[in-house]
Amino acid sequence: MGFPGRQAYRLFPLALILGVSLFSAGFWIVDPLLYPVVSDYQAAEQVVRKQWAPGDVLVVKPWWAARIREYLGDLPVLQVDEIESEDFSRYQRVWVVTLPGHRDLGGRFADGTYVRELERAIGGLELWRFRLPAPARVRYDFREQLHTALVRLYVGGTQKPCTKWIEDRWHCSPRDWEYVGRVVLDLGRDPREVIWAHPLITGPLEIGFNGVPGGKTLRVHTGLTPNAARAPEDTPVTLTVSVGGRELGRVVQPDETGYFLYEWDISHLGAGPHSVTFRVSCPRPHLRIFCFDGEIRR
Amino acid sequence: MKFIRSHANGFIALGLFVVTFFALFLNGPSVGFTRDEGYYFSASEHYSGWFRQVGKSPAQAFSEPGIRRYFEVNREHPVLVKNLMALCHLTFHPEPARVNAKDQTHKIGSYARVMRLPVHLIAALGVALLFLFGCSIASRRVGLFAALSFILAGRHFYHAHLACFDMPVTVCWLATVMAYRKAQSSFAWGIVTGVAWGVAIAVKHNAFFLPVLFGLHWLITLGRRFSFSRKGIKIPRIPTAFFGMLILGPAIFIGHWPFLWHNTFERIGWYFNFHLRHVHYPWEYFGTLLTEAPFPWLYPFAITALTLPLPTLLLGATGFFGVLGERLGHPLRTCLRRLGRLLGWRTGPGSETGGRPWLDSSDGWLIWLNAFIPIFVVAIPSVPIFGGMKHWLNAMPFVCLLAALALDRFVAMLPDLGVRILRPVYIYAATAALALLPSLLGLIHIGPYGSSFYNELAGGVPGAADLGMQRQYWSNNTTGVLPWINRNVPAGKRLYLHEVNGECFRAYQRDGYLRSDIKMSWLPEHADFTAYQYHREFSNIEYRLWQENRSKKIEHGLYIDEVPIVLVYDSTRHRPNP
Repeated sequence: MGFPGRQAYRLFPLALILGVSLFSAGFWIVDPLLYPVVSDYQAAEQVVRKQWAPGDVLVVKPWWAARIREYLGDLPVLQVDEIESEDFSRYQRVWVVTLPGHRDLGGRFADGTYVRELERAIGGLELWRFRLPAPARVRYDFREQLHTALVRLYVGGTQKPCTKWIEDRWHCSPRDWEYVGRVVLDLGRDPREVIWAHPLITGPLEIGFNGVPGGKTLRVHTGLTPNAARAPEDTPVTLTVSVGGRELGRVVQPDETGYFLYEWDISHLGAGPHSVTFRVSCPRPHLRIFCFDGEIRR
Repeated sequence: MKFIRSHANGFIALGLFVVTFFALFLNGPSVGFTRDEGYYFSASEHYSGWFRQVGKSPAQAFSEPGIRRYFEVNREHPVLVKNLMALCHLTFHPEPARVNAKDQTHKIGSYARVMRLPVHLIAALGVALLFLFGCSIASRRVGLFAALSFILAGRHFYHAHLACFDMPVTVCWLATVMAYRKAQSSFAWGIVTGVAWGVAIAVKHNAFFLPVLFGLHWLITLGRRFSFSRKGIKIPRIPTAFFGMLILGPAIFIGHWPFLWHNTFERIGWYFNFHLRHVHYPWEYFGTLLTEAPFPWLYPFAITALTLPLPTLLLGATGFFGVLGERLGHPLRTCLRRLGRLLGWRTGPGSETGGRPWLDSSDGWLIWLNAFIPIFVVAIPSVPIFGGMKHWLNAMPFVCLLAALALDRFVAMLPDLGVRILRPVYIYAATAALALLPSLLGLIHIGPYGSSFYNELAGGVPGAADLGMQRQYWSNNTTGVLPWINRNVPAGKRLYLHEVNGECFRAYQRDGYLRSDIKMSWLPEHADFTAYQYHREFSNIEYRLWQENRSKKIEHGLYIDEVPIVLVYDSTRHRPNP
């Protein structure tokens, strides 16, 4: 028997199909075995809870791996697509839970900026803990203090306060987007805990805070939601930040989604207390779902 | 024995029909209700009222108000399948009131079984027809592989369960094509083609593209016979099927749909207008949420590549390009032959099997056009894309047929070794079994959550989640968390089943899937418990829960390979007591 070598190529297509079929069958048999089971999560929960400390945060990789929140969802958990580029400056330590196929960590996790303190394989899960550089000290969080804010809108140049605080929101009108409130929304690809401040057609929207302590910097993040960025309207939204009635800075939010950081030095303004006002305006605010957050750091 | 041997194909077709039907019928209740099914259940029950009215008072039933009363509901789709569902409902549930919301004693899923029965029968028929088509085009083994690869594909098997129109129209499309093929040389089959097409358009509007496809086929295969000369214009013979379709199609379409019996043109106009101006629903595609046309033209090709089991995909693509290459004729073959020589092959494609063609010209174009046109239509950037591959499901029997032909071709290419056990038929059987194994394993793995199925190329469901593909649609995966809800939600609590419409919620309660004391809520903020289904466009639903609950804690979830599909949140523990 034995066929002529020059005809070997005739075997190739069938061999390819056989190879692909074997790979595919193997995929369905082997792949599910790699994933963690309930007992792995329970074991991971025990480890994390035992060593959890204030200033810790938990992230998962890949971002969609939600099951860990059945066990540890009551703790601070961040859901971010790229944890390497995430700003962890508010935290002391980061716990990272990973699934198979998502164990490559780069950036500050790999270059030594974040120190790996713990590494544990628990079945299909891998659990790491990193110590971060000394965390920033947040003196004032504007989102957290939103219930104390003075929110007002302008109608034909006349100031009109929004006085109804119901479930995390200052309601400014019966229209369901005209409010200032604590929300969680996608800015870019990740959910962010921000302040909803949709600009109004009648005039600027102002959110004022009194008794704000001084510090070294005032940081804000701004962004439009993906829906807003997709909408045909492309007018930029302007956020003006004033301290004690004087303009500190201005952000012109372009027509794109994301979570954009801006920071101003306020160390020269003294220890306070200060009054800080955020003014949101847009000449054509249709579907400009604009959000921001802010904090004073020491 | 002789009888069995001489009718072997018929018996195999019958076997495929029976096995497919029972697989669907028995597995049916495990597949949750899709949003559209909820509407169709409700519409069918409405229509069943009309059938009762026909028995009681025909004059009233046939009057315009009598028809409008029952058939105005869900007028955006023809009623053939819904009428069959209505008749099943009448037959098996003569008194609908007996199916009481508080009655927990009946077996779970009995309502679903009844309402889905027509589609299960039609889908089983489709598998049998595909086998017979493969037999008539090529051989029994080609037919068998085509039929099995079609029904074992995760998405196809899922759609075969649902009381919707996608699988029925696919089967009717296939039947029409089979009849049209026969009608090339038979007047009677021309009539049958007309009837089959009439039935197809009475199922779903996709079938309105069939005349275009047949027209193209006629032009391509017989176009050379057109001639203009002094003697006049010479037109090739027009297939009798065209006349059959022209006369019988509209007659069946209007005849089957009582709502069109009055104000016919106005109502047909409304129907077409609805589909020509259909809204677009957001769809996640490679990390981008597609919300408005123009959509990427690659969309249906990419989705097919990521949802058809890999061996079937590879074979289907080979068959697709193989037949196309052959049909495009000499120029392409010459190119391929030269390319083959460059790669070190002595001869080009075609000569290894003694120059045996894939298919003759008419069959080749017929199969190829049917595999291509439905996908091509969805590739037009303005065409709605929601629903994933179900919109071009009617192409898939032909893709599977091309896959079977490709496998046949590969086996035929093998050198004859003169060893009995290596006879082509055995090699084909062994390779086919191995090529179908991943489909079967994938099907078992995905279980009743077929709208989440992604193939090995995508990396399964986790791979698709990484790629940013639509994770599910139509809300049927809710059934994955209903047992937990039944066990853990306190009596009388309000439940928000995200994306599940009122009709499906009621159907779940009526059919014993969901406890009847649980109240339906329309908003997560008003609910005590929420079952959130991951959809990129609805992520704010989950974020609202995070904000409201002051926590990201999940109580329970349905996960496929750790990819969250449905997540249950408990809002009671975060709320002050009233």
